[in-house]
Formats: sequence, structure tokens, C-alpha cells
Amino acid sequence: MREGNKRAPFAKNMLSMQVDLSKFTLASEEDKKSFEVMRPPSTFWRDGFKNFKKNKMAMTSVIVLVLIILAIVIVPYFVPYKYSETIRVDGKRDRTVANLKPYEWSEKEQEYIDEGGDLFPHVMGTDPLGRDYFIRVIIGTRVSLIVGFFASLIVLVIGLIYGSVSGFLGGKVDLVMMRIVDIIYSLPDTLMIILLSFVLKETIGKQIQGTLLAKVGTGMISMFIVFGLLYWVSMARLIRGQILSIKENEYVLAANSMGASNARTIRKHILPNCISVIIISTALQIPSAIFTESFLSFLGLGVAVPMPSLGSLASEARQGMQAYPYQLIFPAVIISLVVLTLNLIGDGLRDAFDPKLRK
Amino acid sequence: MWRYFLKRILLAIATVFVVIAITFFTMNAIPGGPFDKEKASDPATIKALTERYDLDKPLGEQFTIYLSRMMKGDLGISMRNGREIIKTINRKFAVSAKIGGYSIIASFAIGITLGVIAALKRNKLTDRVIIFFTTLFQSVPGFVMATLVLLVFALKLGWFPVYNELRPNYFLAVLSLSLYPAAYITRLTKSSMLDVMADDYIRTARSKGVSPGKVVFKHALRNAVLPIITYLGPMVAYTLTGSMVVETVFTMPGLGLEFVQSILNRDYTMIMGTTIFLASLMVIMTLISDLIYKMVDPRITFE
Repeated sequence: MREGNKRAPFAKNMLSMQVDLSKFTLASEEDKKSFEVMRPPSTFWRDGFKNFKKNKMAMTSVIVLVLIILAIVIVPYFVPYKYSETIRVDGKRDRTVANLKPYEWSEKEQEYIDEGGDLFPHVMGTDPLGRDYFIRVIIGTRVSLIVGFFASLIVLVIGLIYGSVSGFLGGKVDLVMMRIVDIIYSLPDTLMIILLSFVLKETIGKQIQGTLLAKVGTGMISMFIVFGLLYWVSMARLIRGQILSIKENEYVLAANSMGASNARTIRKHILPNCISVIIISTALQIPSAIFTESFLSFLGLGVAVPMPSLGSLASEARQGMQAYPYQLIFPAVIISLVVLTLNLIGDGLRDAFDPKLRK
Repeated sequence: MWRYFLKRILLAIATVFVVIAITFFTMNAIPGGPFDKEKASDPATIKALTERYDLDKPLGEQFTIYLSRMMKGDLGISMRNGREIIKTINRKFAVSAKIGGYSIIASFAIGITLGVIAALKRNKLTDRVIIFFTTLFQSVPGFVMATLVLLVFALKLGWFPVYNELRPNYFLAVLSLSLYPAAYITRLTKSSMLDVMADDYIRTARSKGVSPGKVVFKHALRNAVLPIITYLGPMVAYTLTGSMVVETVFTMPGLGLEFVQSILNRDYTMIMGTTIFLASLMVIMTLISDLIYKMVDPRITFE
């Protein structure tokens, strides 16, 4: 209802589309800003890492893993014992030094300290051969991590090359290459690993004696060979599948139609879209390689003595586990911690970089 | 469908053949004959033995002889004790099959139950506790787990006897063998269950007024369990390699312990025979579980 003397600027009819302008005001700058839906430009990596940082479990795992890595790099410089040598007190051998408890001294060490000598404590005690257990666990962690890392690297390189060749070429080449993958994939991998490690240990053991490779140990070399022979297939399948599906996308067609070179298409469009899958499965490969190594150590096919790995330490500790359970507990806890953190980081990376894969 | 089955069966046969070939030729690549010992034997004896086992023939011919004997169920004799390998496998596998069978049943029962609970109580305390322990159990290597179980439950607490042949107690061995697969199945069931619970037909069933219990067990669980069947194949493979670990840790006289010992003793023929036996078993079980999956789930398309 309207009062008669106060006429509105426009005569408004019922149901008309006319708008009463006096009811509106101009938007201020602030109002305009509140409607802005754009966010600052972000790259693929920045986005991913932002998501990753929100994941508390994964961030804690990163911190724990960094601490472990710092420890295996720094600690050997501070501990005056060697992982491969029996402890000597003042240059003399000591019979009571074997199987000490954590922070315990042997008789001769005690005498030496009473005389005013200064010794580094055995943080984790000593092993049955009188070697400092702390330094062995540290070096063992180093060996296990290196094995895991390089094994995954081998898998990545072979799988990436094989998978992308098969995916790019397609057609008959792809068919033949994938049949080979099918057969290797259906081989029972653990049994083949045991068999090949055993055979390689028996065959190359003598040939590499005295060379630098002997120091690395036949167990480790054969593990790398076996990973290079068998474990790359799932990576190759994954990468081939990725490339095949990405190749069909409209943006690749668009890039091609606008005259982008093959190299540019691969670099700018195909790789960024499958890199997350590659990173995630490589990250998750490391713990599985550490597991495999520890299983081989259990069978006596792991790293060569006196070099320790977490698996071989835990396996050796089984003999005296009733009397010295901590010799089993220390490597067992660290191996579980390493595998746990790596798994959580892998899961975190998957959630952050590839929401499609999230479960 | 039959074309797909035929294709899978042919692939399985090809795989078993490849396994046999790899095993035979790599084991033969190890330098030194099987009769080389620390003490030099009489040359005439060695010659007789070499002829007896056809070792004087070319490698290709030896392979066909090995294959044709294997078809008749003859895997040769052990180099250490001279017993027939197939008989040893028959005898020892009974123990492993028992442990493995119990473990597979236990893992599926525990895993599916916990997975369903975790999915229904999503993000509640129960779910978190279940997921924490499954993550933990998946981070401990099998032999460490078995050793810790033995140490805690048999040696320290004394709740269970250490294994002896007169009064066999499988509980601890089955327990340590089941922890990892049960944890895996729990997570698998949980995610599969969550997927299914978000589907339209569940909402339809609910809105029709079907009771919650019926929705979970009849509509959701039946569909959620299907993908878990595919884990049966890898599970058998895990159980067979896992049995090597638990049988060694608990000193149970199964095929797993026999295999580990044949590696330590360098009993070439035994390693060969056992590898071929176990590998064929794994390939066959994977095939069966895949075929069952395709048969029970009509939604799967056949390539």
C-alpha cells in the first residue's frame, strides 16, 4: 500500500518487472572483495604440500623419519665403537664384554673407569660377540633404509621406462610387452626371490671376492638384481595404464591440435598427471623392500656378515631371546617404526596428491 | 565367460611352466656338481652316480627328463637324506596345510568382523582403536611378530605350551600367522563396506523401512565381501611363505621348516622340488580365487 502524496519515482504496476532503485545502494570496495571467489594462484606441488601439511599423522611420521635419518648419519661420528669389531678395553681383549645389558660395564671396563678412564656407555648393551649393540643397530638401520631406497629406485627406473614405452607405442608392441609382464606378474614373487637369492649367492659369491662389491655382500646385490628382475612389473603396469588413459584426454588432443610438440605434450600434460601416482607407489615400495630384506635375512640370504641390517639383527637375536630379549626388541621396534612411518607418509602423499585414489 | 576362463587357465599353465624352467635352469647354473664333497669320492662312484641321475646328458635333455618324471609325480630324491622328495612333501605338507587352513579361516573371520565394526562405527573410538592396531600389525615383519608371540605368550607368561610333537598346539602359530592378513582384510572390508554403504540401493532399503540389521547384513555386507574374495589368492601365497617363518620359529615339522632347512643345507634337489610344488599351488589358488570372484559377481565384465 502506498501513501498518495509520496509518489514513487516510477509508477509501479503490480507484477511488473520494474525495480525500485531507491532500495539499492552501490557496493563498497569491501563488499566487492567479499564476493571474490578466486584464490591466489597455486601450483600442483604447492597444493599437494598444503594438503600434506594438514595431515597430522603423516607430518609426525616425517618428523620421526627425519630424526631417524639424522641419527644414522650423525651417531656413528660420536660413538667410538665399530659395528664390526669386538670392544677392546685400553687395547686389551675382554672376555666379560659379551651380552652386556644396556648401560652396563664389563669387569675390565669398570676397572678402567675406576682408575679414572673415560668410556662411552653401551646404550643398548653388547651382542654375543662383544660388539657394541647401539652402533650395530644404527648401522643396521642405515643398511635397511639404503636397501629399501635403492630397491625402489631400481623398480622405478625399469618400470618407468618399460611402462612408458609400452604405453606410448601401443598396438602390437604393447600387446607383446604386456604378455611378458602378465607372466612375470603371476610368478609367486617371494618364492622366486628366495630361489634367485640362493642361486646368486652361490654363483656370484666366489667371483666377486676381494672386489669392492664383496663388501656390499652377495645378499644385497642379489636382492637388487631380483628386484630389478621381478618387482618392476606392477610399476610398469601402473605407468602404462596411466599413460594410456591420459593420452586419450581432451586436453592432450587440444595441446596437439594447437601444435604442441610431442616432447611438450609429455612434459606439460602427461607427466604432471601421472607423477603423483609414480611418487606414491615408489614411496610405498620402500617399506615392502625393507620387509623383503628382513625376510631374506631370516632365511640367511640377507646382507653378508659382519654387516648388520635390522632384519639380520632381529634374526640373530632369536637365539638368545630368553636371556637377552632387548637384543630382539631394539631392532624390532626400529624396523616397525621405520616401516610404519614410511607407510603413513606414503598414505599421506596419496591423500594429498591424488584425491582420486583416496579410500 | 568360458573364453575368459580358458585364457586364465592357459596363462596359469604357462606360468607354472615358466616357474619350472626358471627353477631348473637357475639351480643348474650353480657351479659344482651335486656329488662334490669336501672329501674326494672315488671317480668310479661319481661316474656311476652321474649316469644314474642322467647328469652326463645335455641340459636340455635333462630338463625334458625332469619334466616327464614330474608328470608321473616324481620329483627326484633329496641330496641330503636320499629320501623321495614327493613323499617328504606329502608328509610335511599335512602340517603346513593345517596351520595355513586354520589361519586363512581365522583371518577372514576376524578381518571381516572387525572391518564391518570399523565401518559402522566410523571415526568413533572403536574404529580408531581397530585401525591403530591393524596399522601396527602391518608394520611388523612376520618373523619378528612370531618370535615376539612365542616370547610373550609361551616363554614369559606361560599361557600356551611351546610346540611339541606329542601334544601339538597350533594356537600360537596360527595366531602369529593370522595377524598380518587379518589386519589387511580388516582394512579392505572397511573401505569396501564404506563404499557400498554410500550406494543408492542402501538408501532405498533404508527408506523402505528395512531394519538396520538387515540392511547391514543382507544388502551391504554381501556386496562388500565380494572384492575380498580376490584376496584369497595373495592370502594363500602369504600363508605359504609365512608358514616358513612360523614353522621355523615354533619348530613345527611342516613343509615351510623343511624348505628353510633345505636352503641352509644347500639341498639343491629339495629346494627345486619344494619351490615347484609351492609355486604351482600358489598359481592354482590365485586362479581359483579369480574364477570364483568372476562367477559370484555377475557385474564383472569378461574381457
